[in-house]
Amino acid sequence: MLPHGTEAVSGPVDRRSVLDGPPAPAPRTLVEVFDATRRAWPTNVALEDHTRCLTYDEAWERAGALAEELAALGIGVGDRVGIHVQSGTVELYLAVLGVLRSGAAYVPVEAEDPDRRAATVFAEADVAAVVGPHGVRVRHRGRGRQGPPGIDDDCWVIFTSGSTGTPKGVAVRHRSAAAFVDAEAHFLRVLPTDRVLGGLSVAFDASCEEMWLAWRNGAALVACPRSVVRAGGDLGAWLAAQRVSVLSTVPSLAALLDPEALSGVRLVVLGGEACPEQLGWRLADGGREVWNTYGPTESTVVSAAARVTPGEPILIGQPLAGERLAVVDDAGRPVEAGEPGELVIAGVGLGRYLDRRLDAARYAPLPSLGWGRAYRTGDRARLVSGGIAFLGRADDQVKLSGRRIELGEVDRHLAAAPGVRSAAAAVRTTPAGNSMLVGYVTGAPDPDEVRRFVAERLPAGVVPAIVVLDQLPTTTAGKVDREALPWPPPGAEAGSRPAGRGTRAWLAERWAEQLGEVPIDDQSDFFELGGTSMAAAKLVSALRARFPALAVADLYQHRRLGDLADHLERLSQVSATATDSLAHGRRFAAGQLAGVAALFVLDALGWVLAVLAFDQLLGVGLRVGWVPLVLAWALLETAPGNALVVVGCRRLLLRDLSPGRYPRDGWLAWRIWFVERLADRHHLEELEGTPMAARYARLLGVPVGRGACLGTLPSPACLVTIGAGATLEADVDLYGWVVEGSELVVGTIEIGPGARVGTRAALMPGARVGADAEIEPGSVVSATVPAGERWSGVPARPDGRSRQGWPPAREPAPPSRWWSLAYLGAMALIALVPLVSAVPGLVLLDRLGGFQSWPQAVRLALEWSPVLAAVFLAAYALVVGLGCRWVAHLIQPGWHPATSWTSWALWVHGSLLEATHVVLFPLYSTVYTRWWLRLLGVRVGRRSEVCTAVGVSRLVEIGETSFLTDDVVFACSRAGWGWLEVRPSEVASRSFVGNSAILRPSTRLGEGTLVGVLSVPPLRCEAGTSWLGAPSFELPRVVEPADPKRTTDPPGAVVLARGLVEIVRVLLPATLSLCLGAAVLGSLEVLATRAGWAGLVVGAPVVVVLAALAAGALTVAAKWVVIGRYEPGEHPLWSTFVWRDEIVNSLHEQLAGAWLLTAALATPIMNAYLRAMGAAVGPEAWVETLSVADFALVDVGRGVAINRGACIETHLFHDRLMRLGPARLAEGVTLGPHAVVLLDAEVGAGASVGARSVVLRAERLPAGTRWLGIPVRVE
Amino acid sequence: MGLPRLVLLDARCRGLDPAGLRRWAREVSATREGRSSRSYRYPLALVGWHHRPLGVDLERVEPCEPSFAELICTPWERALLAGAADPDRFLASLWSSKEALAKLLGDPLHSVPSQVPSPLSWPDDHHRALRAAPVALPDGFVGWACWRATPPQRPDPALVLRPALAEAEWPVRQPAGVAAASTQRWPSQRTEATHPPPSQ
Repeated sequence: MLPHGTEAVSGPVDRRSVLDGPPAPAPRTLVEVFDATRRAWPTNVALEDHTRCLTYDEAWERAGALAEELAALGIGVGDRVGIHVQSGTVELYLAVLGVLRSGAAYVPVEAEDPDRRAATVFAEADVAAVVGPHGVRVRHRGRGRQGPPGIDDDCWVIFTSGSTGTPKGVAVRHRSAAAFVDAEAHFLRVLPTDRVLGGLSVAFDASCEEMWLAWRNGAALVACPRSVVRAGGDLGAWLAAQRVSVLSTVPSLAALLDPEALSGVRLVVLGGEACPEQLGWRLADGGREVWNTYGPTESTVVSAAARVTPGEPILIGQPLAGERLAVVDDAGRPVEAGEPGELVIAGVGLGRYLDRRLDAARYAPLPSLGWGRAYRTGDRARLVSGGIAFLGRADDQVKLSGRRIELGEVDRHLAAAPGVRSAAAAVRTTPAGNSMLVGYVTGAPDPDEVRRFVAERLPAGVVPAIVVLDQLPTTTAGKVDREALPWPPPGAEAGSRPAGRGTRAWLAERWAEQLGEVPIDDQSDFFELGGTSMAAAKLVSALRARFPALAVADLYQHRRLGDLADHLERLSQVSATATDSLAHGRRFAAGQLAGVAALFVLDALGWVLAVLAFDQLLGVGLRVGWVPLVLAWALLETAPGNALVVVGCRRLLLRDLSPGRYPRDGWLAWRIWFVERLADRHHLEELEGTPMAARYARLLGVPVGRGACLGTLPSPACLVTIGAGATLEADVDLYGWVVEGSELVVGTIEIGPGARVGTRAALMPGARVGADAEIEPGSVVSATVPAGERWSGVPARPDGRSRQGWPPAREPAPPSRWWSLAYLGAMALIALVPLVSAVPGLVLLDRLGGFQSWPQAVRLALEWSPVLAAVFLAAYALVVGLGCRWVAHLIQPGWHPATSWTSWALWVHGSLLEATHVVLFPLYSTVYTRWWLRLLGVRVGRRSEVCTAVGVSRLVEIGETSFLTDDVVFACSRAGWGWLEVRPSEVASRSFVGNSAILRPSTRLGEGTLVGVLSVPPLRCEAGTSWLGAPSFELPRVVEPADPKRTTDPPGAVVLARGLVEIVRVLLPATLSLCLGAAVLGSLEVLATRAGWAGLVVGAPVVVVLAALAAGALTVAAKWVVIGRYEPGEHPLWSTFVWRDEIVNSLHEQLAGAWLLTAALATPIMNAYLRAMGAAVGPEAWVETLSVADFALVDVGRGVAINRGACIETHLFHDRLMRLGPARLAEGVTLGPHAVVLLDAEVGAGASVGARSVVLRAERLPAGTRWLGIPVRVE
Repeated sequence: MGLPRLVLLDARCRGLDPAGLRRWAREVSATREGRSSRSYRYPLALVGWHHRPLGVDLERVEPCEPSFAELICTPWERALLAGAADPDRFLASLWSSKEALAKLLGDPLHSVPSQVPSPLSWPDDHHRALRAAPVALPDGFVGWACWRATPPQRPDPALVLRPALAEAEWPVRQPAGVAAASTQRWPSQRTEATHPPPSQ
């Protein structure tokens, strides 16, 4: 639909170049426009940026709050309020709306403009206050009237660059603005479902078009950061990611966008510059609606528009409703149609200059047409068939990046600079084809000083490159001949680069090596000057000689010379940071040893109970009666009892816990470490996901709102607040503290009401999750997530609105005793599983005569230990398998209430399996794993390999010859807002899933898919694709050929050999544990018999400590016997090396881990153990993880901090080949919680790797740098 | 439809400056259906288009420092570089292959180019649904095209560089169908073929 009919051209003016638009729309104000839209679509998104998302109602309300604040300052109709807020943020647009609601007119200045310009503009406009990033700054009390604005009140004052050198303020009335908005709505069909780009500077009047295209029509305005708009090339990907469907922009920016980037854009509105035909046609190709618009700031954004049709000339078209256009000669008379002349505008859109004299000149009457007020545009145009055609500028105004610049203004500032005699500016094209502003000066100036001088006086982004000439070329009339200004400039290499010995001068030389001799100054953009991606990479490789921390991405983020130089200087400062040594390292270590001893004393109580129970049963030795025994058992060995112990300890030791940075060898660090170890040893995971979890959290002192579902228990040392109705899925990192170098960082965590935190998300100290917000699985949050938003990834970024794809929220069910009883009952049954599984072994022992006396029982247990271990493991697997199979029938795909038998069954299933990861750990990664998984009801294809997998159930299907590495998470359910969604997951044949990858509900990996370490793949992965990251992206990798007989298709004899070796592997840790247990019991019985109570009480901790040390020593000995020293290399899956390595892993986890290390994590004992295993561990290292393998390949420097769950992965299993390589963490490195460092990687001294981040194979992270992400990027 | 179409533009044929060359390349890609990708090294521009996603890249062979190799090569690629007859040409081509792949995939890893294995390492020029091939170019230039194949996925034998525009667009008159007669020789087994221009 055309904007206006041709009937407007009629009568005697037909032959003349005059066009009248249709009648103006009914007058109203912008406030009324927004309010009408709000009433129609109150819950539509009005505003969105990378951190927030506001509906029309919310935006209206927030704007109202600002309006009230302004009203309190006396500001109202007739006043003006400056806006000086960063572009690309919600705050900017809220400030616009707020000022409009207050009745005042807003006066925008780009936040990046120099302060001096802002001061000039605000003084010129006499603003009463300025809305800035930190709130409202008052300049003088308002004088306006309170109440809504009228149609003839000003709505904005926008300053253009003036030919006199002083910015010109143009005031626009609500009547004009609303008429423009309504007129455009007649022909630009924007729908309430559209998403409109908000990318232009708000100081540029075309931004009004973006805003009101959205707000007039109920669409969403999606604010784009200026850095993305400036980058140009990145904008395409951003548009696609943000699903922008309507674009109002300048042609020069649109030209940078590829068709792929615009595939989702259905409406493009061009304006601000002349539109090249090829560009317009290309954009309109394929039926996309493209409009070319025309209009100066002085006549309210747009006065004319024309639809672009491929193959037809692009016009500025016909006037909008209420507008009048004419082409006139020098005398102000309309020229004949087709004749060129100056375009003049009249009608409802006319604004006015604040400067009355200027206003009188430029808005003078046009008597020849009887127009009382008309704006002389200074643009040359002519009337052709179809409307007005643009011919060019009549004066020296130029457009650069859509911004109108008066060369006269630039000339004036240049000429005023110190040392400059005369000056002229011109727009030139760089070797890369980009336009740039060049200032030519004569005299003896310092180019840097001139540039700084001009930069302080011009809008940001239009600072010219400075070229010093002997004299300026002139025309015959003596005027400067801009066309003749030399380009490229003479002697560019000598005079146009920053001089001296500083970083800038050195950097400029490196630039010139890549770019050739082009003028380079602080504001030069590497890519605009012709830098290619390869040149960028070569530049970075050269810069790394001095700044090894520099990444290629840095150059894309710091494109200008000055920015990059500043960045390099910052990097060098970071690199120079020394690693602090611990002040009280020895004292702290001694404290930790005492702490470990205390934990073993608690362990010893359990053993003493067992001895007493045995004595009671046999009627020998010390007898205390069953009642005290049962009470003590309930306190020490059951989850509720253990919870009380932990709560008591937390309340005693951490009463004064508060956020801050503390030395990691201080008293607080010791207390946190001890309480965490205590909680870890007491296995409270059983409470997770039950109604008791919230009660336990409250006992700890954590405020938990009503109806909150805790699938993860907060750490006892966590300062967390959990809102009502919030949902935490399983294994969320909710500790609130982290070790960074030599410091312990403690911070608060807030989880708002109704928020949902997905499985394995990490909420770092200081994280805030707003009400109803949603955190996707595997994300890392360290900032504030605004209410109602969904964030995902490492680090977490906005990913849309929360609750998308969820049914309407269910009210949380009132707490029910019956459900608590159901969970308690199941808990008791699960606690009985080990006892029931031990019965066959005990019966066997009895048949052998073991219960006749203590020495006999111990002797027989030691002699028959392999058989007893096998019987126990088989019975345990059978009981758990059958239990899981039975309960799995209650788990059906679909949506279920959060409190239902399905959620109970999921919890029982998970709890049963949780224990198997300890007891049946050696059963994984064996040829027997498939049988075990099939017993659980999992469909597993032949020749598949499964290391430990979390969440497997009959909803999981694993195809043939697939390979699932350690700790793969099958999150077959998700919970939130009173609902539980259960969906199956499938891994098709020949797939590979890396360590700790998370497969969300409904994930389907096609055949031959590869998912990287810690990655969260898309729900549907095409066959043969490889994925890495969170959110993951496709990354092709090459399958390395290997002998199938040693990888995928081994001969029968090899299978048999592995089966036999793995029987040893399964039984050895359990057998040794059983022997140790028997030895401990026997020793305690001897103590009790010979020394009575005193001997038992004093001796028990000693015996338990000795047993733990023996477990560690046995593991160390076994490692050296079975493997020797680990060396870099490759071993196929079906090789004895891999099988032997798994024996060592099993002993490490199940023997040393269970008996000794879980109490000794992050202590010198852990370091000593690792050294004994062959690893190089420096003094004062904090190793809070068991995930260290292939020990000799691990090199951990002095003072390194490896946080909970982090992993040094010195081997990979891609293509069924085990590749081993060294990994080195230099002095003072920090590995965040759950971070992974892969083989051949090296992390430089003092560098920090964030939570859930992955340092890829062979990567080198320079010293002193901070990294985050999968794969890591500079933080 | 299985292969992308490529056109090489030479600014000298029309007396264009760099900006003019860019405009010309945009015009050329705008006149074709499907998705397009462009790469410029004045005076040449390489334009490719395909009905599925693609990325093309064009580089000039320039002297490269060892530090550049360190920045962009995987260990395997470093081994290849050690045996390359012309290391500068090898590195330019290696970079070009990675850049074309990055354009195809949406530039996922530009911060860590050494973590993106070059399509050089793909057996038979393909990786599942992805295809890659070097482009035959005048001396002193190297280029690559990467694209997503149309199912059913079969390895494409070679890339056709199609002189779809007039021969005059070439810097030097070339016999029709000069196509993929690449002068590059890679350590991997790479099949190269010469194809006549397909008829419209």
